[in-house]
Amino acid sequence: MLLKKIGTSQIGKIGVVPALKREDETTSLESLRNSLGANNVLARATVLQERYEVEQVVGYGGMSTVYRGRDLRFTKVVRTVAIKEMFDVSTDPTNRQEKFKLFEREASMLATLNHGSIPKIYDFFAQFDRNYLVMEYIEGHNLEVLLEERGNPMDERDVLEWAIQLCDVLAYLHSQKPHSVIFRDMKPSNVMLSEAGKLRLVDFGIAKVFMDDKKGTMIGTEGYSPPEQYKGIALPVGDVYALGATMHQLLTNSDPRLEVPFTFHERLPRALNPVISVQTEALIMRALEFDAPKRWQTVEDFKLAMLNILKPESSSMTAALADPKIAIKGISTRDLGLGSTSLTSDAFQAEPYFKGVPIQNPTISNGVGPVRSNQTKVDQDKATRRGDGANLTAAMRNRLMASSHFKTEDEQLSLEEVPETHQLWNFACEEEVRSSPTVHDGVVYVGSYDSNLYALQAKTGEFLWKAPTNAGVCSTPGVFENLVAVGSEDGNVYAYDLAKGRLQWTVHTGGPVRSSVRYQSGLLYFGSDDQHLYCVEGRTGRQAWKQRTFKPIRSTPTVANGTVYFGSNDGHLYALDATNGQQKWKYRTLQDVVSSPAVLGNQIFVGSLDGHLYCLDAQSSWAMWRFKTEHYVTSSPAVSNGKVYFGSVDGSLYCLDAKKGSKIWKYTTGGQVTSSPRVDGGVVYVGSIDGNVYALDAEKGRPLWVYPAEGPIPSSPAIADGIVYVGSLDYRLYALAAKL
Amino acid sequence: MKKKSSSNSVTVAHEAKASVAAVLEPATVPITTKNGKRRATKVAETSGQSIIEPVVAKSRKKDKAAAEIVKELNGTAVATRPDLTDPLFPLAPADPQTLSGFDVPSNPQNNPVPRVLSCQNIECAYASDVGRVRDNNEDNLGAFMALVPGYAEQEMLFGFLVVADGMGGYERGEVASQLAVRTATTQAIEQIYFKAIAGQSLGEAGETTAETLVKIIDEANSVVVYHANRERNTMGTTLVCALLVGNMIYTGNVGDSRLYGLRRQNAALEQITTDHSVVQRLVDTGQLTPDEAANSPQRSLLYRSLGQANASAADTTLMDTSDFTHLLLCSDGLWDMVTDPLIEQILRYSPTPAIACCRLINAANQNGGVDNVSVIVVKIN
Repeated sequence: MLLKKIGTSQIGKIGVVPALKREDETTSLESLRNSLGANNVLARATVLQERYEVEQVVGYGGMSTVYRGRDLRFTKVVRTVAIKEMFDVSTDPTNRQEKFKLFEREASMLATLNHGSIPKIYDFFAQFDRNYLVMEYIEGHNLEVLLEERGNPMDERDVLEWAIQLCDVLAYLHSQKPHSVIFRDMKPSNVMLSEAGKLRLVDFGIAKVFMDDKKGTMIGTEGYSPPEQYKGIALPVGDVYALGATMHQLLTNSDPRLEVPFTFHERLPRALNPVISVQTEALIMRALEFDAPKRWQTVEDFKLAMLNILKPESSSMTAALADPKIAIKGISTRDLGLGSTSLTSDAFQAEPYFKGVPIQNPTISNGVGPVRSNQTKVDQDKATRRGDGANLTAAMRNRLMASSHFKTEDEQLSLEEVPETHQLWNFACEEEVRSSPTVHDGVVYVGSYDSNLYALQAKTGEFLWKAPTNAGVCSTPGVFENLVAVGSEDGNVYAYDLAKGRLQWTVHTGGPVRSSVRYQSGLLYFGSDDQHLYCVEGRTGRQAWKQRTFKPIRSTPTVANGTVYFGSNDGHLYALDATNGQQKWKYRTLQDVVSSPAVLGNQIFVGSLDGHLYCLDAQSSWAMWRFKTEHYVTSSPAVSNGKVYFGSVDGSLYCLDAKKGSKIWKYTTGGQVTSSPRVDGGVVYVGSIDGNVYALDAEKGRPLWVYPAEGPIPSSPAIADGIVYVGSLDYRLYALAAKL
Repeated sequence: MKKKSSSNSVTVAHEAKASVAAVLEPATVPITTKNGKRRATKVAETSGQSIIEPVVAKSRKKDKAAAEIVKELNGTAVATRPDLTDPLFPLAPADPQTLSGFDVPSNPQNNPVPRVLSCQNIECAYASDVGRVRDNNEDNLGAFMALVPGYAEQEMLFGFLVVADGMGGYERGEVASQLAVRTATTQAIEQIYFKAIAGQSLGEAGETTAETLVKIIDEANSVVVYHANRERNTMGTTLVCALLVGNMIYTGNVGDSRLYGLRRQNAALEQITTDHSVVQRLVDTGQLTPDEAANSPQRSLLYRSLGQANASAADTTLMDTSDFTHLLLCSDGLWDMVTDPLIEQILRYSPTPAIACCRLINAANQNGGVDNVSVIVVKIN
């Protein structure tokens, strides 16, 4: 296997003749060459053909060496020439002979070219089993070296002027009769810049005649070559592509040889270097079109377009667009991952080439970019203000908030088109309902910030009983063994009997209890703001053990396989032995873990305020994958059918492949999603701070219905017997029809 | 002595380095058969021969002595040529004819002896062969498996398997691949295995195992870059690796060495990694058909490899061990010569990973053996 060489530019490329003035550089080059084996490089003062005296090595590549030499025929003056020496690695004599013939033909063809930007060929011959080409010696540096020395992108104007010069020389080559000459190897290292600012093309691929036939070789250089060249097709539009790639590199200082091939449309010039004008970007991207017919069809067209940009009066694209010949049309969005409408000239002037993708972070595909989320926040604020001022109905206000998002989410169904489900009943408490309801045996239990725990008839909403605590209740009630237990802001966990709501026992902790209780095998687990996780006997409330963390615990513990998993605001997810509280392991995220873990087999899912949803391996405790959202993940994940669902403060509900952590769909609501989704019968239900309850198709993320409440919904829904129960900050508990 | 402690790298952490070093060089053992008819019996004769140390193995005279030393040291010598004629391992009735053709040694000079490692429910065999055209082997491979003491009497499997295919023709591709294998393996042991024993988390807070694996490959890359710069050549290498942690498999890939899996569900072969080759890109973008790509003269042209840039830009995937019955890591010398259906058949119907190794290499050689062939076959029981 042979890999085309890259990264050797410091010591010169094949056929490149950098002017090395300092003696020590030359020496090191020669010593390098000599280190590869004796007699590999011609000694100084060697005379070839009794005419060319070798002076020094000026360039070196894997298959060739370039010397500066002197033509001894001119005895009175010093006539300097470049002598390019090429090795033939094939051993078969007939093969060698054929290759020399090819060399001869190519050299003869080159010798007939007459253009100021193409070095003159003086002579060619074979000697010492090597092949030599004698040509004009060019002082200067190649553009790759200049770019490396500069370390920053080149000036746009310089690049355009150079590209125009290169178009001229390419046009000359393409116009050769009877066959147009295709350069096939346009790249910065093949372009020499003299001190006078004149460009010369070097390396006409002639060395490649002698390259081994073994697999892996081809003419052209990866990253610059157009796709069709890999099928052996060389067309003038191929040189257009390579010139586009060259300009892309000069303007962005990003080496295409180090990138995935044919991904220029994912690395737009302006994303890498915002200084570049929209027009220049557009014309480069047209040159870099994947399909040959979509590119500039001739270098003349390309040149004309560049001249238009350089015209002093045409600082905008209008001039270019006015010229029908070079109008920029049909810029494909195929590779952009947007797939929406193609850009019209209006949009073109108003917007950068690649709208909708955050400039700073091009890796986020279809994500809510920072640009967009800022914008929507503003919209949202506006909408909220409008809503408050005009005293709109909840439905109108919510739709307004939600629709402000849909402006930018064109792939998402507008909320206007989503049907509304109907309400079966609602129950008004005296304060906000942040607690998530629990349904058991025809009764729904829910806590309220009015400090009570309520028990209501699930079908009708009829009040059964309420039980007081000493502060707001925002945790979710847990039902077990004829008891219902709930934590309160007053620092206690209370257990009441199901029938009448009579207090059975109380557990006191040192801080508000916002974590909800979890019952498993006779034991009740919950966290407290006093930084401890408690395990008590369900029947009596007697403490079995407690384990300390370093910050309040608001995450609800999950018990599976004899292990209790929970997050702490100290940033860790803990795994404790469920029977004795001994720590098995802990995993550190970058921020607080408020979200409650979900377990699927060996996988543990949990959100973190660092914006990620983590998937941990229960055995090793290491992260199998993590998925980044744009804001805190406080919502607890729900797992169903190999998928994991969770909300993010960035406003979206996400559905990921549980195994790989890849996004299957996301649905953007009009506000933060702090509510935890619930999946039931192929439908995922979630509340949003925009005040809506959403029911979405669990497979596709298509909205099935929506219900506008009067206030934001941080509470997570509960589903039983075709009814969705959810609390809202409008003090109400709603019972909604799960099916329309 | 260190080297002779051999490739029994199972379960013992302290032997890690020695074991890794011992498996770096492909094993070679002389096979003297030429006559097709007599091959089978010759194979039977050579079965049971144990060769561990490659340096020793190259010298025929020392074969016997080496085998004895190895037996003495190991008790259960691990590097044994599988007995392909053993009736206990009958081929599946589906294709006895087709596959038995690959049971004859294919390389008259020196056919490799697969080495075998096993740990928990994982059995692994690996071998590398120079092929029939090249005269030096630029491939290198390494395998390490061990158990991590568990939290609750539950031991966790740790394994690191890696294949690297050196590039650069005359420019020391074999050095690059060896550096990559050594660095990646030692890094995996240090960064993951030792951490697992100590019960620590990997890397920085919030880091995923796949990210740690990328760091490990990056480290291998920088070592290759460092040496390439020091020796002023442009050597490079591909790298494909599988990290087994508990029930999970993490794969890492740079270049065109591949990892295949045989699905437990339907016994179908699936290519897990995606080549970083230009033709693969052209296939992905619809410019070439897979058939055109397979025959393209540029099919080995890579746009990503170790030794070329500051970061490896490795791709990783994540899989559940229980979803697969077999894994195969291989260099392009295998997949270029042997069709996917045949690879599938060999994996599916070979009774042991060692036999599968032999058959895969023989199949590649029988189809031309144009490049070096390296395979690691993992059987998940």
